Amino acid sequence: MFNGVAFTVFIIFFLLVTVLGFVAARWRRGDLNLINEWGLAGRRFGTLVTWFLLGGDLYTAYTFIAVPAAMFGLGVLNGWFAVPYTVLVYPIIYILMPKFWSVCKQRGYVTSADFVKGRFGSNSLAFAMALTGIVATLPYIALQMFGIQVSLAALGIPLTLSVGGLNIDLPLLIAFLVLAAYTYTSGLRAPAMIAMVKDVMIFITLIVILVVIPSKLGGFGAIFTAVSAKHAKSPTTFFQFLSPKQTWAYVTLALGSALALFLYPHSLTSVLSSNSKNVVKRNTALLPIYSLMLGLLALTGYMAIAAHIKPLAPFGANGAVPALINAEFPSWFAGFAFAAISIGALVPASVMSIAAANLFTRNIFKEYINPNASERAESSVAKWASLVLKFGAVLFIIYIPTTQVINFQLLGGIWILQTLPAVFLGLYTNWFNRWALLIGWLVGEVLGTIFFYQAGLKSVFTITIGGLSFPAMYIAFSMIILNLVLAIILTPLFNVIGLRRGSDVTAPTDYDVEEALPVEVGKEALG
Amino acid sequence: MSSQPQTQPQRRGRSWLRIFLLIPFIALLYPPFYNTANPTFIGMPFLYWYSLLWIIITAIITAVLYFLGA
Repeated sequence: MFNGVAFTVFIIFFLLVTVLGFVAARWRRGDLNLINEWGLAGRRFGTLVTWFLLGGDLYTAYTFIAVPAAMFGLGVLNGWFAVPYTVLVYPIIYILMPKFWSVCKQRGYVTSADFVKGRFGSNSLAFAMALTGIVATLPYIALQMFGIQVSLAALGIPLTLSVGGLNIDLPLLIAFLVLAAYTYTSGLRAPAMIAMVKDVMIFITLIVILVVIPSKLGGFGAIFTAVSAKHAKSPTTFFQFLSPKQTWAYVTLALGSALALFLYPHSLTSVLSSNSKNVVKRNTALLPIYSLMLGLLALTGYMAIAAHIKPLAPFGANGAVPALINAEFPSWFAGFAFAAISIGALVPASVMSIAAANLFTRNIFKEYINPNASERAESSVAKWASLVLKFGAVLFIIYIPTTQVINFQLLGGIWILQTLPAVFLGLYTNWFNRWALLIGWLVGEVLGTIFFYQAGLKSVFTITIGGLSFPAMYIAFSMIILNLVLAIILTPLFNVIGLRRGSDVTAPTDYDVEEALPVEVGKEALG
Repeated sequence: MSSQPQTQPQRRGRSWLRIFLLIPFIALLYPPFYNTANPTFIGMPFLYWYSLLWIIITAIITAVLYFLGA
């Protein structure tokens, strides 16, 4: 049912944000034709902007749509693991990211592949990292697109428009074009600026939901009673508590996702755009505010159960929370909430495509296609790549079933986690032989993808070798163990048979630099 | 670069404090310990509010470490 009021409110906020994106191009102006400026905003973001930017690109349609949907449809294992996941990610960042920021600042690296190339002296390994970063980001961008699609459908916008026999998703196309246009014109500045507005909108939405819905439903006690009843009705598919068999899956989903998050190009981009190591550290104490929001939003999936919501027709469990918002709130507020969710998906989609574009430009285009490209040409290629990659993401939505859309993100996690030995362990040691790392990576990626497929496009799989079967685990986790074991066994072996190690161009002091040169920061901050 | 030599020894001296960052891992990665309904809090089973509580505790741990310069 098309809802005029909701739609009007939605459009107003959407336009407001679009205008902001274009204004952002002029904010703290730098030469956007240089990739350092377009893609890292000149590395001069302070604590607050970094907080909004990281929050904006880590808490996404994953938080608003995928996790609540998993809670609604399957319960604790598939949804609630996201809480330990987003708790454990911060101690990991606190330890690793200052080092990463430091070496990248010191050596002028823009991507993890740049770092790996410098650390292990291997072009093929750098290529593998870049390729993984780009491919793993696509399903994650796809998840964001899907979030926008669901919000628009919840407003009652007809989803398909037939043009010459082709079914075109018109609203999605418009949103996509707006996003693409301002990402193209203002680079990382656009999403950072929008992130602030988006977060304010999201926090308002969340607070209103938490104040209104539980009291309408008779408190959390009543909500969890309804959840128990759902488990009693479908004891094999829906769980309020972990069954003993699910322990391993729950733990590995949480730990695997936590380790994977800061290997994604977009997370690293946001870290690198901050102006000092301390900004990064400070943020590990501030970002959990978002994790709390994620946890509370996850519970909206349970609220939808207690409210006996019938999910929005074509979206299955993913349509539960949008239907809950429609059912419990006046249409003007529903319009506001859907605008918040859509923009909450646009921001990360934009940062993700910028980050993946940086990877393509620096580590594939400049490396293999045109090594002599000027900085200006580099920037222009990155802008075009960001556009093309967004189309790539759309293909994922079209061809992979969206029933449990959280699997999009988890698939990205399987792929990106395999870069951990080179990137994270590389921050500590150059002990590994580059070829050993490459083989570990390759085996992890190939087997991981096969297992994901065998599991029925799901991310938890029981590996059986001969008669021995391991407990069901997140594939990313089992594969990173295999990957590491291979890298550790093959390194001494390859050294012995004479496969040459690469030379490490970084110096031990590179990993401990305090901040960006103060001259650069001070001047620009005033301007 | 020039301020590095002064700040480094102090930070190095306190980096052992980072061992406290292991606490959340121990608290959350053994679910049998908290996978229960009781005690409840504002109607939420233990599993749920315990997990949420660790978001806050972990944030406090990292904040304290940051201020101590670890």
